Amino acid sequence: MLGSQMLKSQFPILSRYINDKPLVYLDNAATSQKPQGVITAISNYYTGHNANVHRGVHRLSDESTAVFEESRNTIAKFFGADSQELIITRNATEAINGVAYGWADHILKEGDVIVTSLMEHHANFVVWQEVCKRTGAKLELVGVDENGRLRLDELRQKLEIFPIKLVALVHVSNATGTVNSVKKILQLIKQHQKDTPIRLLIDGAQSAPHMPINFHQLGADFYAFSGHKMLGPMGVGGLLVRKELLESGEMSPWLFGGGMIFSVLPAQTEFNPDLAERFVAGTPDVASVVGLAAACEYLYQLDMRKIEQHDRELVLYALEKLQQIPEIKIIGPVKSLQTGQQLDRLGSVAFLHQAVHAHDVAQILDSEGIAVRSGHHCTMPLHNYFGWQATTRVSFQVYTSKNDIDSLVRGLEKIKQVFKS
Amino acid sequence: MTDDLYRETIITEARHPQNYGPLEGADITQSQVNPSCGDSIEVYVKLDKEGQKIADLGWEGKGCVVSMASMSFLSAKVKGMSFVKINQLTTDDLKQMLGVEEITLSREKCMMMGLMAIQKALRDK
Repeated sequence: MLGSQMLKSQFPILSRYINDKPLVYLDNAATSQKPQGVITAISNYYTGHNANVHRGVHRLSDESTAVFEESRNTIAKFFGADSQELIITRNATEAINGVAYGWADHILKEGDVIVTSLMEHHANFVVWQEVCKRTGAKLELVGVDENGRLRLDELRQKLEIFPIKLVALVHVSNATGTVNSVKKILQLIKQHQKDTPIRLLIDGAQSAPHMPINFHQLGADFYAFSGHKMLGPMGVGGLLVRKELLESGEMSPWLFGGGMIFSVLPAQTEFNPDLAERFVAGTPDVASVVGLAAACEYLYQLDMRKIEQHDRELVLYALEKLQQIPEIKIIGPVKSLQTGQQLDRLGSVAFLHQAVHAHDVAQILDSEGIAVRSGHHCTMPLHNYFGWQATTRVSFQVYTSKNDIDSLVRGLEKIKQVFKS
Repeated sequence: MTDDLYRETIITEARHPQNYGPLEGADITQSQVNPSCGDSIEVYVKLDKEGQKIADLGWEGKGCVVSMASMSFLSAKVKGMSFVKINQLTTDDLKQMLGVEEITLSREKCMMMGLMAIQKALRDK
């Protein structure tokens, strides 16, 4: 386990008291808290270096450009990608929308098929429904089994039958914590790929904070992530795109204006040949990019392998403790597929309370200073499929400790007292 | 706030709701969903002869204690009430009905879901 007590002291907000109780923050899948280093990096940028990037001759503009480029490099390196492969967006949602507007809209034709799944966040679902409306493509959904695992057999069937151009799947589910095997998904795609390539988009919003990601080894064509879920500021995230797709123009800019151009003539515009600039239309949020780079640096120092191990221990501990409470039913995988194998679950544990609605669970936990999330977690298709009205989710970060989970269990005791169930 | 919200009377009301179930011969059926959580309420309204008041009302729903208790109290209160008066009901009226002094913004949505269903039903009649 990471030294959570020491880490907690580096996150100023975690010293707050809520309802006279020390804050126990277990809503990290919604957003993570920020270490002092990230807050200071943002503040330092505005205090000492703020100016618009690119094309400025004066000193501050030069400094701002340097710190922006340096930050982009740090973020790309953190994900094992080339700097040119990183397109800065507001968050994972905007990154996925970017694939829709910059790739799908001009690649997909009527009758083409997009595959996604029942376990997706709305960000990787609604976007494709809309693309289908615009392009005439069709959406096919891969189902889940009774433990909330992706039905790879269904994916295989669809790959056999349909003219698929894009497979868009979540890496780690924000509702059930299920980890999808990108390796297995890619194998299936490669087995069935004929003349036209089948592109793979991975929604990494919940994997980036919890496991090491090497974009080149992962093998996906697109990888979307949110900075604010991985200790960075809100309002910044990214889309990683395989360089080949950028160079060939298969992935093209979807936002236009200043910065992304090479030459602008009355009749036509040529886009910037520099891939790193071609996708930056308008002034970027430099301070947030600097903050995200500081977060990547912080996670890198802690070591993502250790962070994943820490997270796995928390998941197992939470599962063990929560399963001892008779009123609680865990959703998502609780046992590994084969004995001896790692449990394919990361980041969170969500559950149903047999007698009490999730909002009421969350509200009573709040009175004990414990922050959890309740509702459908932007996964309505999954909740509807299983008939879950609403679930309560606890989710983890580097500063989460087993003590926090013990506090949660004590908080759940209070529900019993209030509802006398 | 939580202690206020989870008083025995509110929990009991949600567990044993008044006027629960569909109403035969209803003139209007209307549903309301809270999109942020997926909770839902369906109301069945029977109008009086002049068509100016609610003569009878039934409802069904899936939701938290706050939304269910609020709808339950409300279902008793609006029977015989004129449309004008119903449309004038506010957040403060519902807080008073539940006996809570303050409520967070997110839970206010839970509390108001039933009233919104009824008001929508009357608008669309």
